[in-house]
Amino acid sequence: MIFDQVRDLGYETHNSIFNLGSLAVFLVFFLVRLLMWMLLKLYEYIFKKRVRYTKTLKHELFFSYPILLFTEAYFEWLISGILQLQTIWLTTNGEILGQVFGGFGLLVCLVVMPYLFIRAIKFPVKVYTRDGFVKKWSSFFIGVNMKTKG
Amino acid sequence: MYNFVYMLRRIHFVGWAFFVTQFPSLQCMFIMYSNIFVAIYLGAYKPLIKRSDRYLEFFNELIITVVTYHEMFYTDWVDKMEDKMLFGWSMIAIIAFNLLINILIVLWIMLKNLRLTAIKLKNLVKYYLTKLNKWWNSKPED
Repeated sequence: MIFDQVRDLGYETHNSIFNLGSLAVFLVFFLVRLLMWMLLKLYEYIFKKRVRYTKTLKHELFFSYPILLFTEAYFEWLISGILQLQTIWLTTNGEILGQVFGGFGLLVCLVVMPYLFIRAIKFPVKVYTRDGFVKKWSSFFIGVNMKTKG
Repeated sequence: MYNFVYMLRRIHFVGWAFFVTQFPSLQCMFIMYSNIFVAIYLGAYKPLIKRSDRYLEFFNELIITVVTYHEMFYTDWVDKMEDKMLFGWSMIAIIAFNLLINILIVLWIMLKNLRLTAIKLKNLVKYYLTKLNKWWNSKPED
């Protein structure tokens, strides 16, 4: 059953891929790049060679890109994940890929993001202006006053 | 902290919208509380750097609060359907006003950036023309 409130917001299906739209495509891009980084790491480990692109990829993947992806559309991820969990597996709405997307989005929104936020907040105020910190966590603080924790 | 509050507010909203559907009055109340809390937070801590961003955020917050107050008119407190419809129009008008203001601000920023780009391009063209002119004048005549 889709609640009236949600149906009025424009969600006509439980399938998270449909509900997420372009965000699902961005997630696929992210996962492909993550896989690429893992393969490069494996290559480096086996052949004992450094690949420059691995470092660049690492900086983007941990954590600017995923933080931006999930912060900007936090609501969409949350709602599509909850709607997806209400479906029965292996039906049109409950297709496996949709379940994976919905579950992953919900897991990130309810576990990973709060954990990262709390971790970022726990750092001392002085650390906030350091280059390394800004590079890694900048997506959390775009346009936000960093002089105080408030 | 701003993004953390932003995230908590969304979790709070989704929680009330999906899991407490049998208590609409509580839904209205707690969403109003969260709006008030965020408005207080924005006013007290001023978490955004730019003043214009702060004003816009506060304006949006005010509109959200007024729109949330409209939810009360759709409950059994208002008997007549016509009255509910009237408040519906009022809600639509307020949301449209908010959209209009936000679109105007986006357009204003776009025009400002366009103007800066045009000035930059003009200076670039001027620089190359001067360079070309200098080169042309310094060319020995046959």
